[in-house]
Amino acid sequence: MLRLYGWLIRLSPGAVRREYGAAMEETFARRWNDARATGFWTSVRMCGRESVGMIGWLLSERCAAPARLRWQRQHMQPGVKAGRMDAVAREVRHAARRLVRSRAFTLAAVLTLALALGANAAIFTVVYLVVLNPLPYAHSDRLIALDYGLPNKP
Amino acid sequence: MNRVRDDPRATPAPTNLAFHILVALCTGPAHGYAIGKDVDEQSGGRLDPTTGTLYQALHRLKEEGLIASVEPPERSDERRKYFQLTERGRRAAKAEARRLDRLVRTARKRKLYSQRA
Repeated sequence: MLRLYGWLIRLSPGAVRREYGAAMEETFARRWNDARATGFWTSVRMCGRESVGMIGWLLSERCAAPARLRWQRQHMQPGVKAGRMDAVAREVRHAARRLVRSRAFTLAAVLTLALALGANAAIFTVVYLVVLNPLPYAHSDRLIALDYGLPNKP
Repeated sequence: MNRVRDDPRATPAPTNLAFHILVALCTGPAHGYAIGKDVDEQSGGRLDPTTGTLYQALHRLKEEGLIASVEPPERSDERRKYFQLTERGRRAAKAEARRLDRLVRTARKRKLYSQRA
């Protein structure tokens, strides 16, 4: 886990990595030890939260921060006017270009999403079969219960 | 430019996490792990930021000039980064604490909860 977190940090932008990379690794290592001392499920929960938090930060630093800077620059210049949808389209194009350029980061993000979605689907399948327990008949959703009652007393 | 930076009204109210970080640094310089632990304790577990979220908030506070990096003490882990409140950060934390104090007093006055509760 420590190694995986180290890789995620290495994907962060240069300035952030240089300034906080080592400190983040140290903080994460101590938190990881705390979580492991508490129990297995705490450490699993912590892994999930930390990975998602880190990927969120990377996305924000890689895509949102430069876009925010450009937006500020553009809006500070007098006379530059663009439609709202033009600006959104430009940001989307820029984000796509950046994702294509930094392939390692994109691959890591896509793999993480794929693993998370796969795990989610697998867990839901198990829960559906074990907990929800559908009736052991074909087309069980078409079964109905019949009852009778007196016409004046429903 | 400096005049705008020093004007307390120019500083927007800190977010919940940012305020907890500022309060954690009130007693002196601290490193990321200690700040995170203090935030978790002071918020009663309601705020338990991930390492990424914590350093993102620290980075923003540093950019806003509310906290600053300081040299770590001797014989400390060299990977650790220590932060301390700046004068501007102390003023911002004080202003937010006063605002919350007024809000709590109003809530008590309006009988939202009793003193003993």
